[in-house]
Amino acid sequence: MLGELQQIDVPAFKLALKELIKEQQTYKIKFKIKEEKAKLRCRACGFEWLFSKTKEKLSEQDSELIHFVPEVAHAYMRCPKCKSPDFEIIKGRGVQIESIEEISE
Amino acid sequence: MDPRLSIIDERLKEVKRIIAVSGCKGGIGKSVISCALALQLSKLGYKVGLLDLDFFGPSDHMILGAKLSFPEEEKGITAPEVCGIKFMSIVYFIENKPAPFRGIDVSNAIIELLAITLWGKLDFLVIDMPPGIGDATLDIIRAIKRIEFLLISTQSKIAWESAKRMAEMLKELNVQTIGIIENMRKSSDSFIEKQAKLLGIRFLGSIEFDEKLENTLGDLSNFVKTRFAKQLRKIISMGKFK
Repeated sequence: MLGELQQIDVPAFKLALKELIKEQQTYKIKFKIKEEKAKLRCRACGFEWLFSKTKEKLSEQDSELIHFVPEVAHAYMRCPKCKSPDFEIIKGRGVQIESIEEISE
Repeated sequence: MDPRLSIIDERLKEVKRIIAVSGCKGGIGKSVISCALALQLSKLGYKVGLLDLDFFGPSDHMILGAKLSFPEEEKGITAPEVCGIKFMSIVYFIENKPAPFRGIDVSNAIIELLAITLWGKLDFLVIDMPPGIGDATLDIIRAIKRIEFLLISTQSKIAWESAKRMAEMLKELNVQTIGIIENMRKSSDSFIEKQAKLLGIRFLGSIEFDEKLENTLGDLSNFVKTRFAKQLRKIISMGKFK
């Protein structure tokens, strides 16, 4: 699961996984990649919003810093409604492994 | 499943020792001791890294007088060299902006920093911890199994009570404690030394209160000449970190 807030370059990520598969010979591996929209909620006024709706207000550099450490969004973003920096990342923070399944042939 | 946790050991595999400088109370000198310890170990010829984990008041870059430029990225973030030591801090990512973090944000940011930072070969990684037995302390213990704690206390009974609670928690969790340094000593009272002995923690030594220290923060050439730095050097040279 790729959370939108971390702004992973999906083609580059897929390429890295492809290299990883090549490096090991033991198993046949398939990755299923899902993307999740980042949603934020203001702790002060309760307003919820999508990261994609406010992303354009960020500079390229600020976006890159959030890419490395998503929590630093608190330094560069504010609640669109009440301007509070006290918000939570409800979903779509970053990279998560949802499940690993072993399939025997 | 969080894939970041599994990469932390890989990132730290070439680091021989990891020392968390901690002590529960704020304002007892954890940051200046962390910086001076890293600098002194580096001067002794060791390869040293310094990680500032005090997200609420990152200050190591100010103590070192570091001119920060964004680290290089190549399959991770390379900790830039500052004053001969590899240095990583949240300030690279928040610059001078206020960043109000809740507990979960602190945990996530710590795990992220540990997962993305490339330290390379190090003899020592010194971690400047935030005050308290909170998220940062628990996360570091969870993420770095071989962490060792260096405790700091002033002569204040209040500071000692907090340090004592931390020492007891570390013992309960089977986390190694190197010992305790008494900082900002103002009188000949040996209360901390006696209490440390009663608790079974190694008393590493005392550093007197140095009124000239403040004016040398950010001025490395004078910082290392202070009485504070000399007394810390003496503690280190006694081999108590080996």
